[in-house]
Amino acid sequence: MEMTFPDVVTLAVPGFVLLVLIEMAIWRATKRGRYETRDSAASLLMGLGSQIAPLLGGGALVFAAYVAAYEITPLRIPNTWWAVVLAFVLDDFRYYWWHRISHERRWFWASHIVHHSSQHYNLTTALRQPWTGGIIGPLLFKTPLILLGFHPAMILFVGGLNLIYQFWIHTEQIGRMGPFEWVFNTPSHHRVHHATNPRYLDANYAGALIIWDRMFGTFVPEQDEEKCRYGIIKNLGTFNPLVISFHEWFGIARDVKNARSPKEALGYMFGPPGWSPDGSRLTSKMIKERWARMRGEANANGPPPSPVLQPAE
Amino acid sequence: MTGNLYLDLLISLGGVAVLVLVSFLLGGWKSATLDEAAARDRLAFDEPDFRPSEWLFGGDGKSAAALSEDGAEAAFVFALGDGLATRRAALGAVPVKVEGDKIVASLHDPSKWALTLAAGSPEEAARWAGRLSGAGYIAPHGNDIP
Repeated sequence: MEMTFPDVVTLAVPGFVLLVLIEMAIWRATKRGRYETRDSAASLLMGLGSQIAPLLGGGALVFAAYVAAYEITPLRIPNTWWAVVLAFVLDDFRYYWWHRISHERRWFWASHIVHHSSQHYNLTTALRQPWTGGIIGPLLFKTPLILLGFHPAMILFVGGLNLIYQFWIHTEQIGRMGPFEWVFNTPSHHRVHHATNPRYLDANYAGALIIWDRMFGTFVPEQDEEKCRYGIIKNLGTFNPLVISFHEWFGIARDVKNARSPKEALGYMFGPPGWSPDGSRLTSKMIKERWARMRGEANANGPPPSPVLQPAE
Repeated sequence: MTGNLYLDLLISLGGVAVLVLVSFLLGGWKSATLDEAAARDRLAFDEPDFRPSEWLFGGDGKSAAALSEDGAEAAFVFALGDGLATRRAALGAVPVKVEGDKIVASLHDPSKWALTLAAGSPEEAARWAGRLSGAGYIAPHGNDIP
């Protein structure tokens, strides 16, 4: 029997809308979590734009490359249920590394920062997706799966399932989930990922399976005594979707323009976010080191105020 | 785009509008009030090694500025929706101008080009503009030279 791979993300959209409405109702009833209308509007428009952006040509280009890769490779994996399961796991592994590099290299971060640019953490944040980055990232990270012999449609299908899985974990309405958290990514794990508390930076890159973070040393559990504060290191001063989408690209262009050498220009483009030739800006590694240093001093000198332990506003 | 795509787009925009409206009706349109505690908390979180000596809290509850203990830097805290954000710069690096009782700081940030601080009076605005521009600043609680 011929296996077909529907566009699961489009099919899931009514479910997304329903779940957002339910979460809003819970927020209203319990006052747990945060919603801000303009922030939600920006997130939803970013999500809509991210679905339109590939129609400008990038989506077709990427799919053509996938088909070409499938034609070239001598390997073939049949379209069976077990191949879908295998593809899902391998794609999730692919997602982990793509996601990790999206945080560790500014070129990729310039797109991915959009998803982190809200100071809120709710289901609309899940839909705050970039309009850029839809060509190089997929080509670099998904083409190897196709070269292994998976059909491009299957890879798009399992990628869609992964995206759907990640939707529901963007909430403050669900606490801990017991043994489920040992293997799967959960709201608690992903809250840590979206937090800017130094303790939580650069952690929990997982898509559906948290095992990758546990394997590669990037897993950090949520601490009850340290509430997550969401956003980015330098939070945005606007809800304008165009600025949200392109501000980091603008920053890269400005830095490259002012670079004093090609090496500096490359550093600004492909170094870690926050990299600067003189160290005057802070990378997340430097922020964590500063936090550890200040925490050490605080422990040695008694209890001066520790900003990271203060509750979120 | 085909007709179907236009229709999909229209339906999607309708869905966005419904969710935004529901959020609004449920009381989601909020604006943070930048009181002293909130400003100090946000600055301490974002810039823990910035030691503020003096603060100017805007009269409109939307923005604040702080000078560092060493007299070398300034920090700005401002509200966006129900959240707060900060910017930090060396004194003099941020051009400032006085407009009546307000100070306008040009942050040259694509997401926040300019920050308006309601200083309360033209005199206070001039005094803080001088400090933020690096001129007239001597030391915390020292001589106030506009």
